[in-house]
Amino acid sequence: MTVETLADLAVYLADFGVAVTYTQGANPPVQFKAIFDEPTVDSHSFHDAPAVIQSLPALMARTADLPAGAAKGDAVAVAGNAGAWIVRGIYPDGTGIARVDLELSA
Amino acid sequence: MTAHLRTQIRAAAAAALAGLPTTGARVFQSRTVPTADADLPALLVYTRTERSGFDAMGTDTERPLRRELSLWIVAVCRATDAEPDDTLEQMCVEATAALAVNPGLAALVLQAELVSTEFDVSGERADRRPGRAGMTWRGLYRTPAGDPTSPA
Repeated sequence: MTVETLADLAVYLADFGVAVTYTQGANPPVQFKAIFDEPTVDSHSFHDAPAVIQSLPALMARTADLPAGAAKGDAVAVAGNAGAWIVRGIYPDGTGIARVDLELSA
Repeated sequence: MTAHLRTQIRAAAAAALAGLPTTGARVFQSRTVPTADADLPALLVYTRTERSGFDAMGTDTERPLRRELSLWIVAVCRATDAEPDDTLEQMCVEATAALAVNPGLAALVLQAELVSTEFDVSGERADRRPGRAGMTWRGLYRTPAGDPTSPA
C-alpha cells in the first residue's frame, strides 16, 4: 500500500519533473513528466586498478505514464538535456513509480 | 641515480604501448586515480609482483639474481551501442603486438610472455558500458644480486 495516489504523484512530477519524450519503436512518441537524475560515481574496482568515473542516468516516472510494453532499447529524450538516451532497464517499485535506467545511444 | 630495473621495464612497456591506434597517448604508468572519459580508452601499466632467486649457490654479490616480474597491462574502455568486449579484444591485439616485438623492452628482459588475461564486463549500470581487460605479462630478467639497476 502506498500513501500517494497516482494524482498525487502527477502533481509532484508536474512541479519537479522535466518533460520527457518516450519513443517505442515505430509507435508515436509519448510525452510525460519525470525526474531526471545523473549522479557521477566511481565504478566498482577491478582487482587493484583504479575505478572508472561514470554517471548513472535515470528517470523516476509514474509507471502508468510509460507506454504499454516499454522495454530495454526504447528511445528517450529529456528536455534541456542534449543526450540521446536509450532505455537500459525498467524497475517499478510497486508503489506507482518506476526507475528507468538510461544509457547513451552514441 | 639509476632506477630499479623494474621501473625501467615498466617505462619501456609504456613507451612500447604509446601511440597505438585505439589508445594513442592514453597510456598511464602506475595510475592510482580514477579514469574519466577524457582519458579513455586507455592502457594502464603496473608492476605488481616479482619472484626472484639464485641460479647457483654462493655468497658473491655479483652473482646473477633471476627475477620474474609480473607486469600488468589493463585495457579500459567505455562503449556505446555495443558491448565492450570487441573494443577490449582489439586493445589486447594492439598491446600484444607492440610488446612482443619491442626492442626497448627486449634490451631489458630475457623473455616477455603473456601468461593470462582477465575480463571485467559486468554489465554495471552506467551511461556508457564500462569494460576492462587485465593482461598479465611475465618478464624474465637477471640483475647482479647487489645491484637491481642493471641487467646481468
